[in-house]
Order: sequence, then C-alpha cells, then structure tokens
Amino acid sequence: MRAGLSWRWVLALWLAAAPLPLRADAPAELPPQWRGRLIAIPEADVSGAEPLMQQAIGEARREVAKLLRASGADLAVLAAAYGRLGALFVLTQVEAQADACLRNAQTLQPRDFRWPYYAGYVAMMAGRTDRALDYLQAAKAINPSYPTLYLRLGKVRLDRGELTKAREALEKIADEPGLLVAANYYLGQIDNLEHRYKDAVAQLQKALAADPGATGVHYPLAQAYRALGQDGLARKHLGQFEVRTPSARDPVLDQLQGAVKRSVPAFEKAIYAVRQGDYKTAATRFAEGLAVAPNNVAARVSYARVLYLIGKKDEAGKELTAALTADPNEVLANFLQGVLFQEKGRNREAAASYRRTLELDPKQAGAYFYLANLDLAAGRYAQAARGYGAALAVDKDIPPARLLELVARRRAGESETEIVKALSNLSVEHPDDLQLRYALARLLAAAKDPKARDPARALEIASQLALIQPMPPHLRALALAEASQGKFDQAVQIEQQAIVAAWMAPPAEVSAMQAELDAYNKHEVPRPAWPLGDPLLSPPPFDPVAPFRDYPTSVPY
Amino acid sequence: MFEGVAYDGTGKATSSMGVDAAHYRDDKDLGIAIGNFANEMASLYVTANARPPFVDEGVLEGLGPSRIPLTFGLLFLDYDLDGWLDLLLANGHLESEIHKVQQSQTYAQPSQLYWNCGPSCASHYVFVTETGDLSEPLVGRGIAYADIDEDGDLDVLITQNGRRPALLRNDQKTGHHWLRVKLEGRPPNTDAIGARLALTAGGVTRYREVMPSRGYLSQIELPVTFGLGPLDRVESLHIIWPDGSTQVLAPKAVDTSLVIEQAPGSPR
Repeated sequence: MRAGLSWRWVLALWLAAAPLPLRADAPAELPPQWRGRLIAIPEADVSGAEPLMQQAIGEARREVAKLLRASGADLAVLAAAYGRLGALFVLTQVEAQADACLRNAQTLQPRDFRWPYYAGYVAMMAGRTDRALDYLQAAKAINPSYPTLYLRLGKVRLDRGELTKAREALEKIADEPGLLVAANYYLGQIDNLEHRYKDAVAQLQKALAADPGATGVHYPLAQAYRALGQDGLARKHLGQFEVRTPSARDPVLDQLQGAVKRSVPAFEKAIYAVRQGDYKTAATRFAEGLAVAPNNVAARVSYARVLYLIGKKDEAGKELTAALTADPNEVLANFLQGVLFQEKGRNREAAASYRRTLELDPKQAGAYFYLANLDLAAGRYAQAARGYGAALAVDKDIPPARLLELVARRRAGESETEIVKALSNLSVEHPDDLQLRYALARLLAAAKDPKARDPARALEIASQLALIQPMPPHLRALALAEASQGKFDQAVQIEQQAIVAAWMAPPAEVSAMQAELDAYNKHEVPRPAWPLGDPLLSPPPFDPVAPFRDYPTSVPY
Repeated sequence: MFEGVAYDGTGKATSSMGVDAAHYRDDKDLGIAIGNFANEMASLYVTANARPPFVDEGVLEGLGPSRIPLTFGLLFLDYDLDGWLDLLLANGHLESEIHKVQQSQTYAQPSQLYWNCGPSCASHYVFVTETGDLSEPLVGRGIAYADIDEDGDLDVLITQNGRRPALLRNDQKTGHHWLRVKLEGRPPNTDAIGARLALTAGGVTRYREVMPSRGYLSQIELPVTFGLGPLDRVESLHIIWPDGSTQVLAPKAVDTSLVIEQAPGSPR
C-alpha cells in the first residue's frame, strides 16, 4: 500500500474541501461571443493549495477572464493565458479543467505545437493513454521534427503494450543527445518484454554509459541479467538500483512550465515523484524548487516529509524547524513536529505541538487523536475522552476514537451502566465495528456493577464475534461470557483454544490469557472487564511513517 | 525482488492488494495477477519458458492501459466454460469522497471482467463490456466463486466495505460443457489442498490446482471446475496429490460433478 497511498497527502497539500465561489466568472460562464467556440472552465476548489499556487491560479484565471471580456482579443495571447491556467491546474491535479484549458488553447491556436503536445504530456502523466496518443499525434501533425515528441509517443505506446510502434518511435531518438538515456531505458524495457534479454542488456548499458547516475536503469538491467542466468551481475545491478526515471531534454515543456513560475516546475516534478513513491527524487526536486523559492513554507514542509520518508529524520526535523521559523503558524509543520517528538519519546513536547496545531486549526482531527492517545497513555483519562470526542466531532469516521472515547470515560470514572448504554447505541450505529461489540461483550460479562451486567447478552454477542472472526481476543471474550454464566468448564476450554491460537501474540498478552485461565480454573470471573493493556481497548500502535506519508486522510490512524 | 515479482517493470513499488496465480495460458508458464491501487494497473507477472524472472506482462496481455480503478480482490476463473481462465477484478476506493479531490475516481467502482481468448489473440485478455449486474459499481473488497445454483458455471460473491455483499449468479448461455472435480485426500489433508490436476480434452491439457485461499481475504469453493467448450469428451484426468502420489482417470461423462477419493496405495 505504501506507494499507492502516497498521493493522499499530495492531494491534501494542493487541494482541500471548501465552499465554491458564489458567482461564476468569465471562464466559467463564457461571454456570448465565445460560447460554442470555447469550453467553459468551471471554478475548481483549490482553497487547500499552498498560498503561492492559489495566488497564481487566481491571477491566471483573472487574466483569462479579462481577455475573454475584451473585444477583439488577440487569439495568441488568449491561448497563452489558457495555457498558463491549464499548466497550473495540472499541478493541482484538476485534470478536467487542465484538459479543457489546453483544448481551448488548441482551438484558439490550432497550428501551435505547444498545446496538443502539452495536453498529451498531461494525459500521459495521468495514465490516460488514449487521450495522450490523440494529442501527441495531433502535435506530430503540426511539427514532426521535435525529437522529444518521439520519446513521449514511445512511452505512451509502451504503456499501451504496442511494442512495435513504441520501438519505432524510440529508435528515432536513440542516439539523440539529451534523450539517449531515456530512449534506451524504454527500449531496454521493450526488449525485456519481448524476452530479448541480450538486446536489453545492450540498450540499458548504453543508457548507463551515457549517464551513470541514471540509477533507475539498473532494475530492468538486473532483470535482463537474471533472465540470462547471470545472477552475479543481476544482484550487482539490483544493489545499485534506485527508483529514478531518466530525465529528458524537453525545451517546449520547460518553456511552458517556466512561464508559470520558476520554482513551480521543480515542485511539479517533486509532486510527481511523490506520487510514484520516488521520495529520493522528490527530495532533490523540492530542494531545487526551494533554492528558487525559499519562502515557500508549504513546499518546505513537503520537503521535510520526503526527507523523513527516505530515512533522513534529522534533516526532516531541521526543515520543519525552518518552516516553523518562517511561519510559526504553519499547521502541518506543527503537527508533524509533534509526531517527530512523539517518535523520540518526548511526549510532553509532542503534546505541546499537537495543542499548538489545534490552536491554529481546530479542525485537525489527527492532532486531537494523537493528543488523546498521549493523554490516555499518561492516565489523563478525562482529557483523553474530551480529545477523542473532539476528533470525532471533526471527522466521525475514525473508528478507534469511538471506542477509545468510551474507554477513557470509563477510566475517568463514568459509571459502567452509562458506558454500556453508550456502547450499545454505538454498536447499533456501527454494526460492522467488531471492536465495539468486543468491548460491550466484556463489560456485560464482567462489569463491577451488577446492574451493568447482562451475562446472557454478553454470551450472545461474544458467540457472534467468535463465529465471525475466531481470533484469540474474541475467544477470550467468549470465555469470559461463559464464565459470567458460571460455565467455567467451557470457559477453560475456550481460553485454552485462544492460547493455542495466540502463538504469535506478544508475551504480555499470553500472560494475561494465562491469568484468565487460572481464574477460570478457580471458578472465578477475572476482572476488570476492561484490563489495561488489552490491545483491542487501546490506541493502535504509533506509526510515525503513516502521518508523514499520508496525513491528512479521513482515517490515517 | 530478484525474481521480478516485487516491483513493476521499472522497479517501482505498487500497492498490491489481492493476488491470484494460475497457468492461464495452459502451458508451463505461471502467471501471478495482483490488484493495485487507483491509477496503477493490475500486475500480471509471468515466467518465461517456465523459469523466472517474472516479467509484468499486464499491458501485453490486455489488462492495460486503463489505470483508473482501485482493485482489491481478483480471481482467475473460467466464467464461460470455454476452458481458458478469465480474470475478474473487484474494485472500490478507500475514500468515500474521493471524487471531490480526484475527478477520475469514485468510491464505488464497477468490477472488471477480462475474457481469456486463448493464443489466437494478440493479447490473452479482452475486456468484457456486457457483464449484466457485474457492471454495477461496488465498493469491492473480497471476491470468491462457487457454483451456488449447481448448473456447472461459477457464480461470484463480492464483499463490500460497509455495504451488503453482492452475490452474482452466472447466467451464461454458451452451452459449453464442463466437468467439476472434488478431491478427497488422505488424512490429514482431506481437502487435498495443494493437489494439481491436468485435464486433457480435444488434445489440449488444462492445468489447475486445489488452492482455495485466493484473491483478497477470501476463499473459493474446493471443487475444481474445468470448462470444456464444445467438447463432450474428456481423454484423461491426471491428479498429483499433495503427498506426491499420482492417479490417472478417464472420466466417462461430462456436465457432471465427480468426487474422487485418493486411492489407498496410489503410486508416487
């Protein structure tokens, strides 16, 4: 799941939910003279994008609007304005708007190579190979002599499995300076797919000879050597492999992207690398962008995140500190700094960072949740309960918080009767949440307060749980329910099954189960109903990589 | 990683949800299909001449270049009983409001069925567009098959996240013949899990395995279904039991279910 989830925080960085503007502007509601000729560009929600990006989109959109309203607008100027807006939408992954902008630019300047070429590149990056091929063919019809076009065409053909046509395109540029490495990298992949491993070795070695730093080439090369039975060479190249797509000279693309903002192309490449799980390249690109735009705090936070993900934790911490020095109110930087503190066991500082995050943005469900986990672990139960409640008020889809709020309330002294009532309601509301049912079964079986106990119901729930998922905790709940009805022999038998099934459980859990078994053998119901340390009644294990990689998501914890 | 199944063809990690493996070309080459995240194609790692390394031939075999859905469970199954193993993918996103941030994505997504058209086609797999209720968007997760209506073809169950499972009855009307085989092994492996079967009909041999845990958090039925296409006669059924002993039979009938007990002293 690692690479696949990485897009989440990228999206979250650039996009976030927010109300749309109330009145449509000229690009969204085209002036009469343009209707039927151009495609309307609806407002896109980019309120969560970093400030510079929001500002750039706003400016580009206003420029388009001004030109659309003007009488006798220069078509080339309007096309360029649409092109700039489209390029910015590409960066925010608003694909439909990006595509529409570039199509408008193409309509306005049908003989300009840049528009179909860039649209083709965008579609290729989005994995829409049909569309990419159409655009790139249109670009080829305008200017067949632009060499990098054949790299793009070759890549799209390769992505479509059209190996002969891919080879045809790539061979045109296999010796072209600036394109040689990328072309031979793809040609080597084609050879591998066609089981022509000796040819693959030749192509890939040619790429490496031209650029020994093209570390991505080592993987297909290792595959080719492996297939040839040359395992030593295969292992050697695997050892040198790092995910990195060979770069290619593309002045048209650079020109268009450069027109947007000098730092943006680097950030775009960084974001693309993040989406590919290529955090090393992303770190390099973020660093390049920050060299041009050092005050871009959001990008610096993103830089810190990829540094962390490639194992440079100290550097990540320094970048977060730098981001916070530049802008102490940067929400994400505060939150992630809290995560770093918590990882180092500096829980007091972690809690302070989470609190600061929440002062700045009371909608940060993750900060509430992490802070509540710290409070729960420290025995500050009432605070923890309030924290989980606050997290759920922001995002009701944090399943662990539902139960943990009640665990904290109970440990804070709330009556078992009240907790049983609340848990029963929650279980009805969330029938798929087995953890709620587990907690309820245990409490109904072994509550201290006899009024809260209902052994028959406990047995019914625990039996269902054991049937749905006969895992050790559910078997333990079933044993407890049996014991609560005085059926200690059954309890012993079930607990023994649980112990056998728990061969992978940590020693502490096995000891707890052994203690329960001893109690059943003595015809006693083990208490408390909710023992400290029960993993199903505790927060999930702290994993700092997850927030650095995925936060914010709807369920990152 | 050394054998080529850890990453895609360029060395990039993919998300890897459900997994299934089969000799879908009915030769010695093994294919491992893996469902991936949204905007990543499903992987299909295949050996070359029955030897590693595996190479991801997903695109070449017709699974691409569509990269839109998020696949969890996937299964090789012969849905039309023509003898070739088709491929079914259960899709559904993780985020219920994903469409707000990524226009190409939705929470519920249609399942995808790929028909295996055999060696006569350039790619083995062809995307099937007319799939009845199977094309309804689901928040697909686990996927399993069994012949629930006992008509010989395989019906499908797809579990969903937070929603009811979808039980999809296969009403194919190809008229193809079939043979279902349930193996009963010697204790302790009475379900004969791990047994390999090779059925020869019309001069073509089909390879299958008794391996019920497949796809994503799912288990299929134990009987093995062989589609026979128009053939109404089976030449031989070769069984290699999990303990290595072998048994060769010549089933006399088709369109029926056989229960085969492991012979007490079957030769190794």
